[in-house]
Amino acid sequence: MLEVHNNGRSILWSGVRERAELYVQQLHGYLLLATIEKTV
Amino acid sequence: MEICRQDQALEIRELDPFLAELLRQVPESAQAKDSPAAEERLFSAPAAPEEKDLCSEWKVYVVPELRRLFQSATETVRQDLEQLQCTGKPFANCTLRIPLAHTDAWLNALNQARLAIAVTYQFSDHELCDHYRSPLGSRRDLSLFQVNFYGFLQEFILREMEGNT
Repeated sequence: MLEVHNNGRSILWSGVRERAELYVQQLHGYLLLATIEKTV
Repeated sequence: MEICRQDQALEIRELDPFLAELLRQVPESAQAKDSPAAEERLFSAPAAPEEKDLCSEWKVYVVPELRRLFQSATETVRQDLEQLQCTGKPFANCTLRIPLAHTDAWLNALNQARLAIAVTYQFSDHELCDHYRSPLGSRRDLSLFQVNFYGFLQEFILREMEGNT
């Protein structure tokens, strides 16, 4: 929370894409901004 | 206005006609139909625009699910708000009873409304923190008051839910 407050964004979870999509969908259900990015 | 917990519900008592009207506007305000910016905020992209496949699949499979979720929440709120139409006297204060089972729907609908209004009027962070501005100046000022009033209600609901667990 503090990282989001200070930097405007934060990495919440890393892992396989399908599960990341599920998490993003759940966050969007709470109207939170969340996106998926490929790990470099 | 007085808000308190009453058995398995939250009661907003002595709700004056002005605040009652703002509450009646929750379902309508939560709709983003006339504002592409609000639509974009409520149904935000899941990835950067370069991820074309993911973004287009999202619109086909996920956005309809989210739309159903949001509409279900606003419909629950709309039904609760029917209590505000049964007052005998035109300008009498009234009471709104929100069952605890409906609080998630209220939080969601209030959130939709706040985001849609804020993005439509492009309120700055500074404006959103200005809790003392009069709602009487313009439609924009009234909308800012609306956003803050809905936020106050969300805070109260959350506090009660935390106390409940």
